[in-house]
Amino acid sequence: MPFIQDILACRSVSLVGMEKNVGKTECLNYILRRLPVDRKKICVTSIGVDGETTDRVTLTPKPQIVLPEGCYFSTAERYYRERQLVSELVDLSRESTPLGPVVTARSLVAGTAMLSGPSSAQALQRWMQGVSRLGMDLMLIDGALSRVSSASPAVSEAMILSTGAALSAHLPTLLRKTAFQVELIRLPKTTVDVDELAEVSALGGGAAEQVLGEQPATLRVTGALTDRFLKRVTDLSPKTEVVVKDFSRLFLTPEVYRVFQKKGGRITVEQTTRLLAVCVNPTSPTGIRFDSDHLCQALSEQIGLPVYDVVKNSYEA
Amino acid sequence: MKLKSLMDSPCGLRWCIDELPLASSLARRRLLDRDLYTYPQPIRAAYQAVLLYREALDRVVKNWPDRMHAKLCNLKDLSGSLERIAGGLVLEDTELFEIKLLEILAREVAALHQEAGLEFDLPCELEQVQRWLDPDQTGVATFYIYDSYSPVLADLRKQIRNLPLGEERSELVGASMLEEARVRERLTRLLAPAVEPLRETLQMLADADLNLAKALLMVRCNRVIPQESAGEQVHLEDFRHPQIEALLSQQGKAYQPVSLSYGDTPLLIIGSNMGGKTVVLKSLALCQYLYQAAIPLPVKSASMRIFESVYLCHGDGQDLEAGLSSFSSEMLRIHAALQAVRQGERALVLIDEPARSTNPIEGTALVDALLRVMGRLCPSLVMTTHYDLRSESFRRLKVRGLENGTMNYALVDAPYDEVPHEALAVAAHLQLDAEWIQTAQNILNNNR
Repeated sequence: MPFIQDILACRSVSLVGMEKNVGKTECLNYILRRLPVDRKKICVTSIGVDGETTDRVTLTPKPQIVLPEGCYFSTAERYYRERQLVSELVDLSRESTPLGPVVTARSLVAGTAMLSGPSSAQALQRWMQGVSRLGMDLMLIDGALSRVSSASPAVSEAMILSTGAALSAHLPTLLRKTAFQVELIRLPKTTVDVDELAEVSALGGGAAEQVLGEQPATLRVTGALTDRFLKRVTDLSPKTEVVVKDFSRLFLTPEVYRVFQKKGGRITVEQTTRLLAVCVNPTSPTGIRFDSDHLCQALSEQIGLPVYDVVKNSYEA
Repeated sequence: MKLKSLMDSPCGLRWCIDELPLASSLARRRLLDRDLYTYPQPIRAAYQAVLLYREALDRVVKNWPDRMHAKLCNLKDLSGSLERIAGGLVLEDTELFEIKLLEILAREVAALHQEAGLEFDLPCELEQVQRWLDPDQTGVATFYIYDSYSPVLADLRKQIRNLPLGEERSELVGASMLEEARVRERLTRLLAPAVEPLRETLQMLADADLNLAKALLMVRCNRVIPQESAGEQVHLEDFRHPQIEALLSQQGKAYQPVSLSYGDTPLLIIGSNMGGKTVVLKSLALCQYLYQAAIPLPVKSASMRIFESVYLCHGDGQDLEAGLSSFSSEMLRIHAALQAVRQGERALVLIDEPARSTNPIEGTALVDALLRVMGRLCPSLVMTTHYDLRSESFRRLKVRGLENGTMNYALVDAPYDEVPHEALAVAAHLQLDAEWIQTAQNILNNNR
């Protein structure tokens, strides 16, 4: 299974799901089963809450996170108390969550636990620095698309994207939405010296007018890049290159982005993101079921990357 | 009075406390929660402890303070967990782990003290704590409810390890969790007699952090442990206001230290504007607070005495919340100080240019009267003014003032003649509007 080797070549990898119930936990379990936790120090955490037995929204059963023997994990103290495994505490961080401080432990007898670690990008960076001091070889972060900040290259080195039937019951829509997200994740790095560029905030309003004229220009957007701002840029100076920090700053719909592209504009990033793999869950809690092979193939053709169904095909490492 | 209630004093105490290179928030909290010392003995003892660390800094290898600092950064306040043990509640794994970490930290800090030739005798009960929380004697800073606490638990875990995830395994996990809870209860009970020794250990570690920080301040920032004054007089030789000194240093300017004796006779400081009179009063208040918190002083040398309270009355700012003008809020502050000394409080009263915001005729009367009344009740009064006061019941000092275009902040005895007339010279030095200053000069010349 090639992407396990790719994961091991990184210091930190973030798992991001495009929607709830797209198989992110299954993907995490698959990875954890195959990582050499006996030889490498690997620590996993979540920026949300992961590992619940039932989905709080749909009330459908969910897979639990299985932490193999030797695996390190960080979670809020309250969930640590509820763990279903034997583990030894190795660190108590000053990072606090509404469920208590984040603790780091090593699994001594494999079992399940709910994970809920640091929730902001800054807290996550502090957590990573903290567990790095414990000599971790790899840090896995279970993220969420609503908070892609965990997958920002400023936080983690690489990412894995999970998608599936829960995103859309309409296959073309599922393919289109996923392909668009992959396109944003893989935006090229700018060739311009960003320090030379004028900085504009998309939320500042009015600032773009001062920088843009009728000539093609390059604009460095600090913070988020929104539809509204991109529309203004399209109107003012269509052939602009808009540079953002990384893909996690993009809050765009395909429609607005396509118009911008068609008029000659392009978006580039200061830091690219390594997308290691795209995993799919062909079923959804509402009963939708796509053919796994067909979904993998169709998506793979659209994005030009291998796509994996880790549940159906229990790939070997 | 607790130090934390004085943090917003205009004398700049907060800056000085923030400047202490403390490693732990526990040490800072304990420092701020402590009452100012009001007897010489504890000040002597506290400074003596600082001195031991200061002397150790000359003996140790260069990175010793950094190693101490790195260790003490891990000091956490476990008072809550210790309360829970004392209250008969059962500790969680995380709390037991914290206690184990405290015990390890205490031993590491003790070893560093030994390396520096400093005494640091931990309570002997800590050895027992170590045996309870590290039953396998691994010496590793991790914790869980170890198999060796209970053969039942060890057996259950053995079975769990050999079962796949499922109902049967879940039941055994449940049983093992119950057994873990029993062990936790037993461990917490065992720890009960160690609560006081653990509290003592926390205090020792916080004190080590604080004393090292004070000693480092002496080395890095040229601070000094003062002598005790034999009488009522306080003497500060070459005192500096650290915050202003740092500010000037950033601008590439040097701070001019000043010397002063006060405390046994009311003192009036007169002198030109921008002559540093306000800074002098703030420095006196600051040094007094630092002394009674046993923090080394920003002086070349000093002999200090204890005051029950310090009143720093300055005319800056109105009390908007109370709806008071700057004049009335200043008068009320001075009134409070006067009432305190009337009731026999041994206070250091520092008043900066009282009644400066009213008309000079009434202002002079008010200040003259204040000096007579307050001066009679409180020999430790230091006041600054521009008013021309002629009474001989107090000592008069003046700022040396502008000399060849440079301000000399030194304080010298002032003869009983006119107050310095240097406002126009200072204004001219500031290169203010020439017509304005010249017109003022003409008015003065005509009045003469």
